[in-house]
Amino acid sequence: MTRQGTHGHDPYDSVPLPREIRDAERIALLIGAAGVAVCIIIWILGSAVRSWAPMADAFYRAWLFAWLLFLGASLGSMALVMVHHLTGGQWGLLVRRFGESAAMVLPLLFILSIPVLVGMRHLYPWARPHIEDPVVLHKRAYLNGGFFLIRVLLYFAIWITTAWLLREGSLRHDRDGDENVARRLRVVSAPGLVIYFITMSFASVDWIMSMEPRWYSTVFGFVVTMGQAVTGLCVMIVTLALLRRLPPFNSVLRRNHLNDLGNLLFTCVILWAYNSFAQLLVQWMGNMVQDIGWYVKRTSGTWRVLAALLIFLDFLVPFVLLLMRNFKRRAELMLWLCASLLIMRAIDLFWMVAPAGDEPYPNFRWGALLIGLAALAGIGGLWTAAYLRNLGGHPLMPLGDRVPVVIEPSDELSPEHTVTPHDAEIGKSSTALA
Amino acid sequence: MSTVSSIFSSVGEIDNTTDDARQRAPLVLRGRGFSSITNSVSAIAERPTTLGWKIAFMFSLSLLGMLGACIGYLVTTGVGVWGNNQPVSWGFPIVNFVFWVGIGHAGTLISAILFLFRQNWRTGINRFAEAMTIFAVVCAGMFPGIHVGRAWLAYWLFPLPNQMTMWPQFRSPLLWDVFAVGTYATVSTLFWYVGMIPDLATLRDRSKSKIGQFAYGMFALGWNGSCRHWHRFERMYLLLAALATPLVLSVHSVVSFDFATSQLPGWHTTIFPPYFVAGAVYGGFAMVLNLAIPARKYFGLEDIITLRHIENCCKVMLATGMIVAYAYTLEFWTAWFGGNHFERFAFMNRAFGPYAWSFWVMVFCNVVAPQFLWVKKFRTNLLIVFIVAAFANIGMWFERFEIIITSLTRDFLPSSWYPFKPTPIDLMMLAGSFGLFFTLFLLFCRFLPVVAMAEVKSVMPQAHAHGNGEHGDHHKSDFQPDEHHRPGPGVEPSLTPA
Repeated sequence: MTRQGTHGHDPYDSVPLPREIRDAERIALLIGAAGVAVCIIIWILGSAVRSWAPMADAFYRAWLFAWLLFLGASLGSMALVMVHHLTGGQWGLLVRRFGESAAMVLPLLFILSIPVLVGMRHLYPWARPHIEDPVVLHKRAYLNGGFFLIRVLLYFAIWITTAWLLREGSLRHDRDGDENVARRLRVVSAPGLVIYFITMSFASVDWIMSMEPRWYSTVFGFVVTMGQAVTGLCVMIVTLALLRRLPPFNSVLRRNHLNDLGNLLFTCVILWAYNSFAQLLVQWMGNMVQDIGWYVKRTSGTWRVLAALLIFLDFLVPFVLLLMRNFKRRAELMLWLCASLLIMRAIDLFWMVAPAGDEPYPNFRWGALLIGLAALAGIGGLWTAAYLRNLGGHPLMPLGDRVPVVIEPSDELSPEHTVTPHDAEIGKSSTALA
Repeated sequence: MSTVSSIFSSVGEIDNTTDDARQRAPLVLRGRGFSSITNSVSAIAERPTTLGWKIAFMFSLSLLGMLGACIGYLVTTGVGVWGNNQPVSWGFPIVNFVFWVGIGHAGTLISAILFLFRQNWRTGINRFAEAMTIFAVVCAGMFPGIHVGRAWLAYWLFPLPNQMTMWPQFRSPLLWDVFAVGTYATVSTLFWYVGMIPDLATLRDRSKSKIGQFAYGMFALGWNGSCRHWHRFERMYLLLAALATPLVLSVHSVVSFDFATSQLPGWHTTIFPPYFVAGAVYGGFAMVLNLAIPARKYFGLEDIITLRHIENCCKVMLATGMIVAYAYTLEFWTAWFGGNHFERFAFMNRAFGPYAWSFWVMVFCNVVAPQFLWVKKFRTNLLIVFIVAAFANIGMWFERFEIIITSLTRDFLPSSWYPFKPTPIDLMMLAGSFGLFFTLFLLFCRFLPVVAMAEVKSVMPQAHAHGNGEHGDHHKSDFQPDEHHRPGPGVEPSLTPA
């Protein structure tokens, strides 16, 4: 089985990444290194100077929150790649390589999880010595250092294997266009999605929910995974919007594709908001002692401002904007919306992670926020550098699936590229099959 | 027996379930053209009443009569005729209500969400799935109406201004239910009816009887197929689809709030809204399959409701069934993890208490049975699909039974525990609700277009003869938009009868 021959300039040709991107990679690496350096200084000061001990606490929390954000970017992208393998659709061909590249940052994220393991006692009440709370003692069968570590290893083993299988299969499909590879990718994706949901649900209990000794919520896994889907999709759309003037996207991207991606983002945002609202309404109306403390903390003082921001900028504003067809179809507007949604994902995780603990009314500490920004710069910089590195070296769009891209002549993003050799080829191949 | 086995036989089935990225699988088989679709779908409503239909209708009508008698007995006697007691004041009527509301979800999902996501295969099954939705909502809506006890005061469910300024509790999910189900019924009916207008006009134009011409003509609203009509129609359909989409989530979420916003162990859990919605879609698609598999054979619609349609429904069932299984697992795990004594007891009671049998029936039907659908060979075997779907319907009924009965019979204080036992009236009303459902459904099959003819035609290759004209694709213009077209070799080159 061979691919159709290429005619002259092929919009899918593997172009070495342009200089801007390689520069961006270097800048990201620098920012990342600086951020990590600041974090390390804070950690050393917090651990060494007794009176500055709260700084160590704040560092671990900051690290956890930033790490979770980028973990979400990788896992959410991976989940969307699997969704695309199962459902098909042209939108996925445009962004699948971004998703695969983001998922392949998981090994780095595994290394970056070390501070979470080291700082277990700072982060999680169940990891501290001398526990008296009977509920926490009861949970120790599941929440203990050894089993926690085993689970972290297990989660990452599963996720990295899945990411690798998806990436490897997709690149192999590029090379030989074998339909069996495409089928195998579907076979990986169906159970892969199920396993992702299950593992991430337990991971969200381990890493976020268990920061509160008594709180629990059955829908929490959905809240976290849907947030990750939004994160992953925003990363994809931002990348696509930034690369839209470069080949192959300048000749392939249509407004309809942006429309589809916008609809998908709309769906993900709604599902996140829906699950979050379900949790809020059930716990607020139930008003039971084990539940309500979580929301009381997070709606007191300055935390209330963050909660309000989440309602407006993480749901209502994107909801209204994404209803508008003209908005979804403009790359530069989608770029801004997705960037702001990524900030909101960070705020959401900060809102969940930072106030956790034994205090019933924790203060909002600006210092903690600053350390959080340092961690965000550190992990974000390293993540972005690795992501851009993964993007390079391979075609930016999957080659094996090229044929079903149907061109809609009335709907160009850039009219000067109306007919490429590729378009003509599609016309031919579909008639050849007919 | 031979007719029963022929329903599930794969003789003459064309396998169009292949996934080839280079070519879309056809959704209408055997090179059928536009007028062939019109003829075979209209014939169902035009031909004389068949014996099979008459027998099925008499049977359904008898069950409906039984339901009527039961309601009469209930209203004249009182709710004591049910097995309801204290503390189980909800009992069978609410189990049935939630069951039937759930069935209705497939219709909106197919008609609205799959439409917005441009899933063309929906056109083969959307019409009767929407009809099924409406009839299921009729069955569902009946139960709260009679459950209020004084059925003649059922209008108090609505917030009607009155001189005593008595209002329902606006903060109660039970009132939200009135709005949610009411909106759902209204929008589903509108959507179903609006989508049917072009097809009703077709029946009007073909009708040879005065009554048919008048009746179809009245409901076709003067449709004449002009460009302007089509333009308005498409616009309205899109808007209705957008309006109906949130309803897929909202209705069963609100139903789940009836339970989840309480403090009862086993009910108060945050996963209920997504879990109820997934379960409803799962059960709804199971009912679609249970109806579609016999109906397509009986009405000779195998070329329009193809194996691909069946397989896609199976995939939706598998995905939603997995969410349901996930929710069961997580509920149990959280009952242990949360460390709440009552919560833990509620779940142990479900699995090992006096109603454990209902729990295990549910687990078998909703968790074990759908696992067969991972295998493509089973997804395309009509008998296996029918059995799995039937299990799913049974399982979803038992799920609601188990949620309502186990939590209500044993809550916090053992001194207020009391077992529940359904009466014969309970069982007769459950059977009678199926009578109501099938009576309406059979009437629909007899008199209305069971397949959305106009929409099916829009996803056939003939409808796009000139769509890609700019790309030098002149070969496709060989397709003529009538049934006399030469079935192009591209329509089913690789398809062989299974």
